[in-house]
Amino acid sequence: MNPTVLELKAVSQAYEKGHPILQGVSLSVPQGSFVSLIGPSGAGKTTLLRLFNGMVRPLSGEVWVEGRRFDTLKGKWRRQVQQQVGMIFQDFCLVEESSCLENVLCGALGRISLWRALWGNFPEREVQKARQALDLVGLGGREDTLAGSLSGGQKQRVAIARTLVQEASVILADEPVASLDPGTGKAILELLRQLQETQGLTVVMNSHNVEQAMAFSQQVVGLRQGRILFQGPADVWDEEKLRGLYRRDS
Amino acid sequence: MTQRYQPRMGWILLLGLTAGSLAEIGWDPALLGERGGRFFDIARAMLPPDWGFFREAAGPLLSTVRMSLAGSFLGSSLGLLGAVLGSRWTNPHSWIRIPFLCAIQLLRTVPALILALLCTFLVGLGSLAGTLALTLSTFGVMTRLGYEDMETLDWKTARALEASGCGRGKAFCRALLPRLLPGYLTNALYLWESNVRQAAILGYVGAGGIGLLLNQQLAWRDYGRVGTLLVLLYGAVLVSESLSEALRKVLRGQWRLRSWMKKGLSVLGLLLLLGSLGTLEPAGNGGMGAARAMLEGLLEPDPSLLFSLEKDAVPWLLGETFCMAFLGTLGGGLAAGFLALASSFRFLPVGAALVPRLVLLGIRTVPVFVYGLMWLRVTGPGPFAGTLTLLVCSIGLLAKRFQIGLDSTDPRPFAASRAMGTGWAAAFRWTVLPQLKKSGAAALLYRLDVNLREASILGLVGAGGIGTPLILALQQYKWQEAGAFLWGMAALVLAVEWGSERCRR
Repeated sequence: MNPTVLELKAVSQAYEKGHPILQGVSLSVPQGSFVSLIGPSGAGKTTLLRLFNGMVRPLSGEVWVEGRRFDTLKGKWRRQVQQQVGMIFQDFCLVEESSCLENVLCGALGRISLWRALWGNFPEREVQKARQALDLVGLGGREDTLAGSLSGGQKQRVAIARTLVQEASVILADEPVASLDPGTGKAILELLRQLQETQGLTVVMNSHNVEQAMAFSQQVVGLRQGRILFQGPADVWDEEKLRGLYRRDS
Repeated sequence: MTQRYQPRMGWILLLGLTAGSLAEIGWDPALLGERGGRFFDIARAMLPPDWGFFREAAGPLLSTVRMSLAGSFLGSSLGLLGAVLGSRWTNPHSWIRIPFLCAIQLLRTVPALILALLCTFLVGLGSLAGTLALTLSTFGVMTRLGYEDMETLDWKTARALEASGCGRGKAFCRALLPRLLPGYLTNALYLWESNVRQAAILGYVGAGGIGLLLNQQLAWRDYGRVGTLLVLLYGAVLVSESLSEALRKVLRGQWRLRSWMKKGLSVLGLLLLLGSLGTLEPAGNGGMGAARAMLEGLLEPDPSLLFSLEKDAVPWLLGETFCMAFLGTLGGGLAAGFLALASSFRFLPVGAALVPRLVLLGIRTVPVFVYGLMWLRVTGPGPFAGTLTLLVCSIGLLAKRFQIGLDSTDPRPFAASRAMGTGWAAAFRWTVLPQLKKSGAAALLYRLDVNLREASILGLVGAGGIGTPLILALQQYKWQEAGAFLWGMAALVLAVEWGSERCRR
């Protein structure tokens, strides 16, 4: 069994009083695994994912990343952990006015000095890494293209390249293919699985597409109304469990 | 030249231009260090304001607001007609359209204050001259913005309607006007905000409003009363900007009003406008004789001023004016960048951003020539004082433009970058600044354009540039000299506009 890289211990979260998003959730993600979160809208999937990179802080409970208690960290200690956790967003979160290379280089900002970052003077090795990452995601030769002029699938590839340059050991993927056509979506998921297998990255993805989640993940976690209803390998999920997860409350 | 070297050449040009301009205006940092404290002499003397003067000043303030309302309303309404006349689709007759657009371009090069001075010769002293000046200047700007917006509209629906035989006028009203109006009205509201500030200085040349009182109190060095006038102006600017912001939100659909509220607002607006049109009442002497003399002067400008290389001739003065405007824009842009960030609701908590926001509003409120007088105490008369004045004035307005830009950026890349463990400054540099590049550059170029015109206002207080001889020529009825200076100004503004357009592309 691989060591745990991400862990939640009895985490609760609510954006409004009386409307909990997560209720005492505990979860462990082993290093190098591909885990998917599934569940109906409003189940708390995105919030759960965002706990691991600090975009959301828990109201109670503990968040652990790579063996360190993350939710109580501040300043540079917090940033150090965040640098280990990359995130791919449904809406890409790219700077449309910047080139692909500049967007990908944003992944290296956490490693270089402030003055280099402000002057835009990236070390040559970082620029090389960014070019290689673009090559790896199939966008070699598009370094100077503005991100705003790319298709949805290409933008998501740039976002993945940015995460690669970040040299994160964990990739959080928040509905990474929801806004893409099925063919492009499948290619992106294959790329994520390839990275997980070849580079030993841990991937945690949330998805509305149950078939895709089952096909690409080793572990599938079912969330409903802020609680984990069931978790286990894809092959132990059956129709009944899925119906229970997605049933409508009358 | 390869693309790689273009940005480097740009920086070298910018540095060269800055160094040349600093030398031209007589930049003296030692003088600033030694006498900089005097800048606040007048500000200190304004405290505490003379509250007893409040009642006396309220009437002229009301007249200023009425002038701005009437000028903005008439200018925007005429501007819509001007836009129709200037657009290729609504006016296919190029023999009318091209001369009309040339006239509009020339009109836009003349600052509102100079227009007001010219109007006082035509219709006499008083608020009619001020209202006419604001109407003309709003008409020029709105015509230009209107026909530019019309050129970028999708004409397919209008063409389809026209092809179905409904006529060009009806096709315009049904297919284009509804899409044109929200943007047009938004621009009109921005202009109204600016007109409130403009109206406050027109009295300086006798064109009505609070400016006349301000001029008197400054001349008598009764700074307590000047303080009262500025507090009143601050209130008027605060109210007009807040009202304009609220109306823009309604236009953008961010605020939905119930139908009775819309009706009530329309009736209130109409009543306000009708009340404001009272400023169109003639109050003094003027007439055709003055108009003829002016026109003759404009058509026969003094050639000895236009083509001489002496220091008091047009080319040299234009160079000095450009240097003042360029340095004012550059320095103001840098300071405005920091202040806009400090007052942005998007990147700072509302409580922290509110104070810098109110300070910026205060900076924007003080009329340009009051700053001019404040700097004159530090540097003495000349282009150095003018440059510093334009710099301070640029801060207020540029910071507002930058603020609007900042508040409309996409915050998601910044949040994503922060979540990757990137520090605040680096994340801002790489995810927010690229989004602001275009709008920021456009704001700077626009401000340079405005500063060239404002430089002529500074002539009133002797702060260098072409303004001093221009206003002297106008006040002494030397129309041929005034014509030469006005043609020079127009050429400079148009040349800078052409350069700006090239930069934007």
